[in-house]
Amino acid sequence: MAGRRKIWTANWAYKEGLIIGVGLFITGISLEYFTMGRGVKSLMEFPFNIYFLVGLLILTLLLWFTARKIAITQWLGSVPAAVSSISLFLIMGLIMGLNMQTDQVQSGFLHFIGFTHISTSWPYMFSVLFLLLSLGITCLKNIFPLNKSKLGFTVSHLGLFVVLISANFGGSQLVRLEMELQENRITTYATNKSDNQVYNLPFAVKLNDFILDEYNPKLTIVNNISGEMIHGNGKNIITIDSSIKFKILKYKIEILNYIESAVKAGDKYYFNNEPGACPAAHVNVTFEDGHQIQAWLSCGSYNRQFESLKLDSQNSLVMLFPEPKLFVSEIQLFNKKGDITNAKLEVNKPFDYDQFKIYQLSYDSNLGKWSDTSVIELIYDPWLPYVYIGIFLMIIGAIYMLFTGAVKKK
Amino acid sequence: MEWISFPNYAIVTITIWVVSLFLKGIFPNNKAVLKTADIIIIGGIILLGYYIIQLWVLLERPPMRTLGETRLWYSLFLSAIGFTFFLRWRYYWFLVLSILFASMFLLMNIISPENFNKTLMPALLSPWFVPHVIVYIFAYSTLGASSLVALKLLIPLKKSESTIEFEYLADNLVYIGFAFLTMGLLFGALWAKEAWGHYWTWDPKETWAFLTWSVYLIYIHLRSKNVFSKRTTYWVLLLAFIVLLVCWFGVNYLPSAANSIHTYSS
Repeated sequence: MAGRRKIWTANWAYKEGLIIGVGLFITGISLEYFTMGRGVKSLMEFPFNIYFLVGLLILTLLLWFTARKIAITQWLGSVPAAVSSISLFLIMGLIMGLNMQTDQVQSGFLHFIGFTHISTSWPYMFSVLFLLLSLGITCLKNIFPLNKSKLGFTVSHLGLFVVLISANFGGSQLVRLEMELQENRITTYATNKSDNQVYNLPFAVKLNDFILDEYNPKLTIVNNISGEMIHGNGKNIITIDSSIKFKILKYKIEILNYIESAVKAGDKYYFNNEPGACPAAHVNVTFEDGHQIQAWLSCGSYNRQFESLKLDSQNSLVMLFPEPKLFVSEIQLFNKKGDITNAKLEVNKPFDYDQFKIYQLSYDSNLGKWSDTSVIELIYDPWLPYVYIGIFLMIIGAIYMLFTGAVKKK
Repeated sequence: MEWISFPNYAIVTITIWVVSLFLKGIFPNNKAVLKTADIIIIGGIILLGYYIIQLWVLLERPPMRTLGETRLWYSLFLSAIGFTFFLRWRYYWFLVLSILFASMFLLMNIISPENFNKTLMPALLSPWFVPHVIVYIFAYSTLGASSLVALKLLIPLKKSESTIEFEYLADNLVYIGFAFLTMGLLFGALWAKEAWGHYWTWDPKETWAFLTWSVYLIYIHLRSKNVFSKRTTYWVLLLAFIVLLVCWFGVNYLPSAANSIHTYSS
């Protein structure tokens, strides 16, 4: 242990780590404070992110190839530096995990010291640099010359290094654009939601069809006076199946008939497929004293009334809006060369086109399955391949770790 | 309507586990009894596995969405891991603790039953869903087991007893658990890119997953060069598990998580 060693003499360890960590943290917070919580966002924009990255890489290489014997280089490649830098990064994570993060500019002390926007703040930037220096030196130490006995170790460290670099230096180049499509119409522009700027795209998108599939709706009880659901943490919310009996609170309920798409005529519901048709269920309720009532329930739609059943002075039985199961946009893409591409966008199934990944995002939720609007998202992320390379290396490192296991220590 | 007959399955499983542990404790030298007890324990694990399969079929989706459903898998893995390591290392205390914790998680599901709910939001409909959750819960179970060993190490041992075997066991469990934790985290990132457009957004659940990962990472580094006392290191291992529990259950209660996109239970 470093007990009697004088601080800042050879073989730096945890004391130095603590001082450097605290020093970076305080410096970061001070810088943030003096710049009134503006953070490093504008500094990290292209092409400055590249300059900083190249600077960091050159510094790491210089440290290892020209000054590997000096105390700080030795230390950066050691376990104490790893623990110190991970701890500082962990503190950043802890602040993010406890204090709500936001993109909006706010006032107040926490904003001024960067705690409301850690991932673009000075203290975070310093902790990333510290971690990357330590990781970088550790990688170089095991690559030049190559330490074959620690191949798994090197691969996982290198993977993490690549991921952290791409995410932290490349993240500022990520562009997210939203596009609102109308059925059978062609749209050529998209909006960047972070600054509300509208961009003209080098291609056009036409929405041919928007399809929404829903689960069966659910039944539950609401309080007549407060209007609140008495959901009992989900216990009192029952999904309708064609014919089922169940009990909510003190009421025995039986579904006599369920129509997925119905319209009311007189005092009954009938199957119908016109726009706005909505789910309806014919139910029988048995009360504690044995008397029964039958009624139709419906959650309604944008142009149909909902229908609930008043059970007694306290409670009513209601049908909730069905939840979406699947939504799909069938689109056509036209580029300037005149090529036409057909694509199907679905949640979890983005489509790659012209440097963008295109995602199904949302739709007009008021209209539900009758929506003829579909909102899609176009994401440009030039650093993604490097992130994938890093992730791939880390997975290999993890598998390697599984096979080698821990070393028995005496 | 609640999960079909879950209490029956759970109570039978817990009962036969506890009975076989007692058998093992009372007749530590009777080979026939020990063998029978082993078989009964395996029977309990298989029964639990069978229940999960039934639930899967009934829900028409992987039972991995709600916290209650993840607790089922946790019980399954923890009991299986506890038993496997018992077979390999013959630590009776380790088996007892794993089975007790597995039973506790089953009891939690009996006490707060969940609604029978088939719906799965579109973001969860993905080939990543099953590997992401399974790998994570397996990691949680292994890491949970490692904290049981840490507990054992923190309670003063008899003078003659050597701690080296236990330390090796703890390290091995952490290595296995950490490798799976890393894969779970990375699968999550790859999935997030497909579902939400970005692999990492510091969503509260992601932040806490990162924190969990980091504390175990610190433990591994601390163990690679023993500078601090071993007790300190095992406290770090226990702390890591507390952070893990916050990530698993606690995040939903944190004010910072009001806007989380990782909430599927409500």
